Amino acid sequence: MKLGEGLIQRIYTCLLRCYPKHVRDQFGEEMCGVFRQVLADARERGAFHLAMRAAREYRDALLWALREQWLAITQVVRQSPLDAHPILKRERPFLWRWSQLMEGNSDPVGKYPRKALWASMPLFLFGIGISLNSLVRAGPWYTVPLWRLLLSIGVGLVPMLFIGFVAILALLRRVPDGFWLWMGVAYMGFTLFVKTFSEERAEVGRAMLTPTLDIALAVAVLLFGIGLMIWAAWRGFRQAGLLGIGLSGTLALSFFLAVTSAPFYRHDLALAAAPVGVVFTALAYAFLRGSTTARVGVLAATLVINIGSIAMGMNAWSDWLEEQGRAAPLLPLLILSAGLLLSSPLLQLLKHPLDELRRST
Amino acid sequence: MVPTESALAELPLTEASCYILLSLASQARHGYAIMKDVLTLSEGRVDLSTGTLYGALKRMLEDGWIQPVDPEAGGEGSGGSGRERKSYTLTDHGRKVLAAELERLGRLREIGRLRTSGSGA
Repeated sequence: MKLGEGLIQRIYTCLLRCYPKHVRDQFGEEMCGVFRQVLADARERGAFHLAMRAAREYRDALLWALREQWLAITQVVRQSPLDAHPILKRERPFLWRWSQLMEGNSDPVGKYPRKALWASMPLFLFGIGISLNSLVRAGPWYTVPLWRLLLSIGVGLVPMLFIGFVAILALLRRVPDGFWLWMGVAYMGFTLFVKTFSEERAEVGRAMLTPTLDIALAVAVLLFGIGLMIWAAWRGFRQAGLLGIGLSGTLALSFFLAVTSAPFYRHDLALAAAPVGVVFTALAYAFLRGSTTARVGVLAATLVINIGSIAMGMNAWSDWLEEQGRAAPLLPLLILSAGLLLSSPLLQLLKHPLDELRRST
Repeated sequence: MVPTESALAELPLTEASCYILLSLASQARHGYAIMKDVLTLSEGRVDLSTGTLYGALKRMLEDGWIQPVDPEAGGEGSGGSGRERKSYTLTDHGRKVLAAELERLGRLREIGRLRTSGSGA
């Protein structure tokens, strides 16, 4: 019972992490204390009552956390730091940081090596997921035992689910400075998953959801992507560049996964995804910590690796494409990759002249 | 206490907010004591969760209806473990808001009584 209650208490403490920091700092400790007393009361009425009460507390904590997150977003967007709401005046450091980020001229992540490393990790995780998947499976799916097939799916999915989880948390926290790469990787990973899944369904003549909902989902995903690019551009060049590296890097790494599908089964090539992921991580780290010139160099290097990955995929598919009588879609893929990488940074570069123009008129 | 215009602008209150203000009307209380008191006042009908209680307390603090009490000054059960047992009390503005809500409910009750007894216009 004690162990169970300790776990219930720990889960509640974790749920409080979903609240904005200023709310957590103000009420977190008190809420934990009250929750402990509520649990003690519920325990006297039996295990069932205890479980029901805990479930209700979890649900309400989550709902109120979402509400507080929303309030924090709308308050910050609505008010400038100088005329902030009284409760937010105590949050001057946070608001100051926010305003600095809007200007794109502070570098809180780039200054700290550990934070920068954490911010650069998602493409390595994505790459290692692909490589481990191939390492465990190492052949066509129908030739390996079921346990190996399931294990390969598991080791491939865990890093991707983790990336998705971090991206959702980042979104709830208005995407802090170090999380734009995570957002890019998660968004592109989700988009590629939806695309692949819908194509598989289309091959057997079926819609993914319904024909109308499929179109609505595609439009929503596209608009979200465009919105993300504009948002990153508005926040600053560093954020825009990280998002671009995340989007295009994920597309590049996905080719290492694509060559393992039928009829290619090139698991040997997929093993290279992890080292390529390491290179992407190193580039992202350099982008975060480097000067403007270094950042331009990183974008160029990313473009080169993207081209290499796409060329590797096309080379693996060449015989099959020839059999099908189809040309390799090299040019459209290169344009797509360059667009994903550079759209947001280029938009960001346009921001300053537009601001100047607006001021002068 | 005469309700001011600013107090009237805050109405109507949610049932939970009204009970929380009522709970703090007589004395300062900490979070858990408020929960228990609201349960008693509502005869077991309003059973606040921790999240709901602190969501409401946060809003009331922001709106200036309540204020934290210096732990030295105490409140019901405030002799506990420091920061965890912070107590809250009504401000003057909070009292005005509560008075305005009670007056509104009183008027509503009167109108309802007149209409349902058939003697009203």
